[in-house]
Amino acid sequence: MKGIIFTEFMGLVEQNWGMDMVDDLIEAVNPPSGGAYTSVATYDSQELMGYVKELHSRTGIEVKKLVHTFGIFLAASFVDKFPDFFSQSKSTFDVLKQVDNHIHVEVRKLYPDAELPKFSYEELGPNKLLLKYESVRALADLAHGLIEGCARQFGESIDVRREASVVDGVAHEDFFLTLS
Amino acid sequence: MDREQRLLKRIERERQARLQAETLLENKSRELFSINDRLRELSVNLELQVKQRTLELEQARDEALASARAKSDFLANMSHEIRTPMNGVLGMLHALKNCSDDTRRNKLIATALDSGQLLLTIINEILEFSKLESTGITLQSQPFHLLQTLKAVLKPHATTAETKDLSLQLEIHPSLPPWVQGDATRLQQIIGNLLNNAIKFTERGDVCLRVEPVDSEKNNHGVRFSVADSGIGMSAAQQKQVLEPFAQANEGISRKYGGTGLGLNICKTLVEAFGAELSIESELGMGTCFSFDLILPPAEGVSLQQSPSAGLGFGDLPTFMGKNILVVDDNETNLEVAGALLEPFDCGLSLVNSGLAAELILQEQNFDLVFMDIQMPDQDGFATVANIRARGGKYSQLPIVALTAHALAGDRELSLEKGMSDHITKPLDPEQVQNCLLRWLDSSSNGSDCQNNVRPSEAKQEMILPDLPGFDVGAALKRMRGNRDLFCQLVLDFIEQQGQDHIIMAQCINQQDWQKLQHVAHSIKGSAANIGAVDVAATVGGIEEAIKQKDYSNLMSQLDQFTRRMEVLMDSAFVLERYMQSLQMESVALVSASGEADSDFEKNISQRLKLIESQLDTDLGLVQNTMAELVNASKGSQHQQLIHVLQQQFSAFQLDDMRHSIEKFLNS
Repeated sequence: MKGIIFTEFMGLVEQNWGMDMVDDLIEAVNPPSGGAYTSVATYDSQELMGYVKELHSRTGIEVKKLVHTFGIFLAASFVDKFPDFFSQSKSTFDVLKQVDNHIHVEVRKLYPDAELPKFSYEELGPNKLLLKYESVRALADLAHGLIEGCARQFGESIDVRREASVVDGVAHEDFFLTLS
Repeated sequence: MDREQRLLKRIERERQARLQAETLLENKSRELFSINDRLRELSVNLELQVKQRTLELEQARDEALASARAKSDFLANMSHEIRTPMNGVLGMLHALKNCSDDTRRNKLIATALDSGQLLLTIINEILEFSKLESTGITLQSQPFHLLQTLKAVLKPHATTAETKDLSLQLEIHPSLPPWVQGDATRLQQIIGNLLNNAIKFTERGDVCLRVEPVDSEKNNHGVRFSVADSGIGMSAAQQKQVLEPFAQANEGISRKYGGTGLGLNICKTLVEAFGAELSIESELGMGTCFSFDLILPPAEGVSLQQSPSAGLGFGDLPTFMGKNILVVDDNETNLEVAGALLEPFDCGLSLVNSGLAAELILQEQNFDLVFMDIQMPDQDGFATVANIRARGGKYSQLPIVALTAHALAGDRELSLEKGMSDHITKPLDPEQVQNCLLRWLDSSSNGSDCQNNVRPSEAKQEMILPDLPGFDVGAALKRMRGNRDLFCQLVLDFIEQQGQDHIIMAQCINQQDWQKLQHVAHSIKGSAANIGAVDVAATVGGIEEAIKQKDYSNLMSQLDQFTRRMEVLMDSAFVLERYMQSLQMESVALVSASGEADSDFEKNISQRLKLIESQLDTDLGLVQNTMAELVNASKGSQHQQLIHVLQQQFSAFQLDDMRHSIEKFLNS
């Protein structure tokens, strides 16, 4: 998992619970990387899951909810850090349609070793989009948060309905999106 | 965890993250640097490659252009080359139409034949070239008689050399084996081309074909052939160029000397097919020598019966009385030609113009030999042969010879496969026809075998001849029913064919090959007796007898005597030849009539010469006419010599030389 996910996660923790919470999480999880994260490196995604669980036990907030919130936070950071991807798009759907064949292609050029989830879509109507998500790490909640965070950036309101399935040991999640 | 500890850990974490990031960035930038390098290299290479390709393309384009230009130049030259002899043929035929004088008719016909032959040579050369270019060469390996093979090549060139007053020599090293193994036809082709070239580009001096053994570490059967001339020679640059197809040393060459410019390239290709190299030594104005080394191992097991016996010369036609020949050809002209060629052999002759007609006449009459055209409308030669053969009995054995205009290898095999007995190509050549008759009629079972009856070809002529030491002229002429021309021809043939036999005989003595020596002696004895060369006949008869008696002690001195007597014969033959030529000139002079006033005389001659000069560029038939007028007009004047030279040059198609002679005369 790219380092930027870790640095952003630490940013979210610091923003909501303070710097000390960051120290405590790292101290408690004691990850192989030592917790010194840089956005340009790559780390084991298990470390992130460790922090989420530790944060849950310390705050009582559900893991699902935490990951979802992180998705919304991450969307805002992406807009801030990679404005080019968003400035050319007029809506959330525009952005989502570009994820797999444009954004991830560009990411791959910068980081050939990045492990990226796969997205494909079907246009079900003028305001309806089916986003098919496929990931070995089953971070569907993160994706959900990202979609919502993205909608916020465009000032849109999108209803999200999810259907999960597992094909050949790979988690599939269908997001039925309706723009209201 | 106290405050200080927390801060220290945070700093430590930040430091670790920074180091990690720096390492990553450094690696990344190194990676970028090398990628950048590769990119730059690629782009530079790309530029070089583009340059290189462009250069190659330009070269290819230039080559293509040069080759196209050479070919179109060649075409332009060729149409000129072909038009000239064509003009000769047509012009002569035109002149023939209005000519009733036999002597002159014969001359016209001879010139037309020469022109036709020249035309055929040019076309053959072009065909040969394209054949070599498209299919390559397959060499045959067969035993052949080196000396006879080379003599056969020299023969047609001797006349040309003589009209140019060049001496044409054959020097063959006595240590070479008489019979060797190789491709005689290709060898003849190479040497023929080289000789042709040498004679063409030599104005005075000599042309010499030298054949000698060459020592080589790899092989001990090397034979070096060289054709040396004392002609115009070539510069180093010209030497490089001259072996290329369509190239002549310079463009003026083609205008001045004619030719396709393919001869030497064909030679080069053929020599290379032998695994050898054609090399040139030349100096401008000094002459040229082409040479190549072939591996020609001595032929083993060649039966002496196969050695070339004294061939049948002109006027020495065998006859086939009682034999019946059928010629089948849909083309009337071809039938006429075949008829005319076969007529002198005294055989029964039937001509039909279709396959069906041939089948009908074969049912009604008996034939000993059939000449069958292959390409005929309605029913072709192959179908006709199949029908004839299907009748079985005598028809399955009947010799049927295919006639075809196709001269390709493989055609012959096809003909034989289709049931033909033999295969000869058109245009028919008298010698070819004669050989064919000898082959098929000789072995036929019925009919009288009279091939050796020599038939005089002309009526009696007066027996006036100069004194010829070594010959019993009276006896010889009696045998030839007084035919002086025939006698002269046979004498010259004898000298040509037997002139070098003393070398072969010396070799036989050296190798103690008595059987062969006896055979050679026997063969000379027959021919010598025929032409009344009694002394030579007696000497070789003595040699033959000595071998029969196994008395080898005096052979060397007998051979000496033979050589000396042959020399006497050669001198006499020379006298005879000159004499016959002078007779021809006399008869020309006798025919012409006098009647021009002296004052107008010179003017008249000059005018006609100028006329000829302009006609040379347009119509050779007109030249022929004007030449005849000139001969009449100059009768008895001091210009006889000039006219004679012009006539010779004209009959040899040396048009540029004619121009030169005329100009020289007009300027003097």
